[in-house]
Amino acid sequence: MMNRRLGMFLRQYKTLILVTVIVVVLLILSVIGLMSLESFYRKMTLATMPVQFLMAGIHAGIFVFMYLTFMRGGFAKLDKAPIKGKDVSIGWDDVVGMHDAKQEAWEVVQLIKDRASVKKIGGGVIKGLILMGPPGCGKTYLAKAIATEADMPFISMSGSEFVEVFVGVGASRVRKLFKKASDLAYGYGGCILFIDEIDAIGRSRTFSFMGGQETNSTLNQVLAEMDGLKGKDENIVVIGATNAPEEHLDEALLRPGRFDRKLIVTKPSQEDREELFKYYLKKVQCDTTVDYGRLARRAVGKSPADIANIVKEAALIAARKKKNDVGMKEISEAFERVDLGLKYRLTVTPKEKEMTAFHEAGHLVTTFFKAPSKSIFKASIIPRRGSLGVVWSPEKEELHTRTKEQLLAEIMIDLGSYVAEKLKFGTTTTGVGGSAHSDFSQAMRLAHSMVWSYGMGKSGFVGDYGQIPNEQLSEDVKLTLNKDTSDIITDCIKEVENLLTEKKEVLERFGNELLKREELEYDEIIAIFAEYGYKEEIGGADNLNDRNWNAA
Amino acid sequence: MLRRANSLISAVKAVTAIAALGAVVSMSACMPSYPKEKLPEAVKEVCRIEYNMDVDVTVTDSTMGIYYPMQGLLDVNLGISEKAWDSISNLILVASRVVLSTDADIKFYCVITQDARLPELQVVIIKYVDDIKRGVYSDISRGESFKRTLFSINLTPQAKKERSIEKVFDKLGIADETRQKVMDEFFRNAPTKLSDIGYWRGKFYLKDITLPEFLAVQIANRMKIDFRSEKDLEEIYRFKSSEGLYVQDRKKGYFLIKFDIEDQRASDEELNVRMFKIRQIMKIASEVVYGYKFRDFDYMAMEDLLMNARVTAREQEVYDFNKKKLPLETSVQAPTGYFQT
Repeated sequence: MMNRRLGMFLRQYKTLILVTVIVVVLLILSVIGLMSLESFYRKMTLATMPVQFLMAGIHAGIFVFMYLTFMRGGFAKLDKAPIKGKDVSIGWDDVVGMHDAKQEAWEVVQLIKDRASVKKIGGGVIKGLILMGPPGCGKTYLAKAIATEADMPFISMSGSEFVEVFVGVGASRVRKLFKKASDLAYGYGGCILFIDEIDAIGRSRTFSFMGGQETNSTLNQVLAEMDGLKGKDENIVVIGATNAPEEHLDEALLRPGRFDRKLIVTKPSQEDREELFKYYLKKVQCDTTVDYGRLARRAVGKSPADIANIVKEAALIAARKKKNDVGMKEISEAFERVDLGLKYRLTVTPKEKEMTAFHEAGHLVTTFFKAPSKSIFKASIIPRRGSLGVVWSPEKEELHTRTKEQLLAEIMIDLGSYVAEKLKFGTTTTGVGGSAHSDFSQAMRLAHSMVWSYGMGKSGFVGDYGQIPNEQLSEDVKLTLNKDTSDIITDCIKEVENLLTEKKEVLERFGNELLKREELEYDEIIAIFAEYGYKEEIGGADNLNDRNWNAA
Repeated sequence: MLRRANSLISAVKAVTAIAALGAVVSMSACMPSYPKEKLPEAVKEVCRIEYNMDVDVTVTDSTMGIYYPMQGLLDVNLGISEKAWDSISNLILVASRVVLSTDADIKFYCVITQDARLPELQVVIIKYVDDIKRGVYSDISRGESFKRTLFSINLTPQAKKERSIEKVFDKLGIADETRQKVMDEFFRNAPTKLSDIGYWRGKFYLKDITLPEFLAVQIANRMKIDFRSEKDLEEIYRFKSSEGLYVQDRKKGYFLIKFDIEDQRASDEELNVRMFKIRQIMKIASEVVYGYKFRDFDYMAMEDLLMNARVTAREQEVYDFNKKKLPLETSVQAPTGYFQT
């Protein structure tokens, strides 16, 4: 029994015993060594010993300082100063253009605030909230508003701030961040930890050798810390924001218990856009004639950030024009500038200019007749963003899906330029292809997707063949699918040829008008069509009467 | 609480153990390796055991003398042989080790070696113990340490003296027994000058060296080194001899530096050359007294044997000459005509 206890003791304290023995032996050897010296050298050694201890201390201090600076302190140092909720200065009313997300977020705020009552009835408190959605939709804004409303300290960090070359630094920063949040929660009764662009650390982990060790360890630490929150009675709410698709994030991060709530912040709806225009235009001197509804309709697909940018641009244009307020005309110009880019003067030959005019006229006429869901706001042959001309025709309303006909119409619009050039001049230009955003590229991409992914080919192959590895597809299948793609293009060209031959007079008119005026606005375009007896089809959710857009 | 108390007790025990160990080590450091009662024996033992050298050792007040007769001290060119240098180095090392680790108040040591076949010629090395300590602590450079060591090869003074007297005895026809008696009584006394230190016929002729006389000889020694080895000086002067003495008078005492240094320049430059020579001597003296922070002298007299003139400088001027870059004209007093035409 005694032997076993002795054995147990030795097992338990073997490191301590070993260290003690080594220290004692070293001390004895030192004493023996000192004793063997002549008294003068012994005295000298002893006399210099305090200095040596001091030097050793200084060296150790320098080492520790360097280590802490470069490894633990400097790289892993966290300079995030918390901001008190009330100092964030973004109130709940400032959150506009995300009605649904705002409503959900309000619920979260209430849950954070009424933590005690939630706990009283035995409910689990919210520990994490992830905001997902496209960029510029106000995720950060919403997070700040949550902090203001909950009246809690707010620590904001970007996911990329955790990423370092050194393995362990990111994890160390996560630990420090949560430690700081914990201290603040202890002092202020709660803390909101906002990690923007969380996809930088929250991507699906790779478990290969040498791959993404740092990101893995950072994410692991985030997961561990978030799990730890459950055990603590601290009111820390982690809000993550990302514009990465959900499938790109690590499953472990999204599981309930970590980010309990997922808030999808989408692009604003018609009402949201209207609200956004009202909100931003309220901040500038604005003309009373501004029609918010019309602006909202024109801003289909725009994010809140885009709308803020349009208003900002409009204010700048008004200031340049020395106007006292922003009117519809300035906003229209701002739309153009944002969507089409700035005009620039490029010397082109008369022939090039003529061909560009008919190229754009081809797009314009095809859009009018084949895509009634689009509004043609502008046609121009003034160079912008690397192209010699443009036809600006956004959708009248936000579309979330497309029909086969709509896709074919898109292809036809793309091919309209080619057909117009061919019909007018008997030849074509390089303006139709050659770059990623060229007419042909877009047409081919759409046709390819229709056949290979959407089952819209005429041979009857249905399914997403793009998902099957190329080598697993038979040559016959590939041949057939490619033929279907080619057929779509050929058929569309034929149809556009018929259309433009039939409407040759209109095409000629638009070509010549563009040559003469260089730019045609919506009302001018509609007026010309009207001269030939063609009225714009009213499409979309609302009656879009923008004839007086520029006149307003 | 109990756990905390136990930790405290353990900590106290550990501190006590370390303190006890420290005390043992410190106390052991206090004991000298070579106690003064056994100092000569200790030197003899170390030399015998470590270097297989049989030496004779004596201690006179604060000066220790070590004598070692060796075979082949001098080579065919009457220079010190390489083997002899090794032995001398070992002797210096042993002497330094012993004087550093003894409780005896040894301030100087003197190593005397003679060739067993030609004892009339001797090599004498005198070192100041404080210089050794400063050398060990790297407080002074090796070059400075070398300059602070008095090194001389000379005829054994006592041998020279006894040979002369014996010639007189021979002429007088005095019997051997009487000769020894007279010699012991009148001519075998302790030396009064450093230059008389030596070993002859089993007897040390050693005096208790004092710092001032050591410094006086060091000044003369440095003059010899500088005037013979420095190119600027070598070109201008022909160094013949120098001698340094510390003369004790009623007050403090003064340094007497005698020199015979011939100027080799034309007569129109003569005065400048003479001033330059005195400036060099002043520099050397100032370097020495300042290096030892020695101020216990009234003045320094520089006796130009060639010109039969004596130039003097007060203690303050000698001490500050280098430090304050004093002008020579106001620092020394020279007889009329020594610096002027």
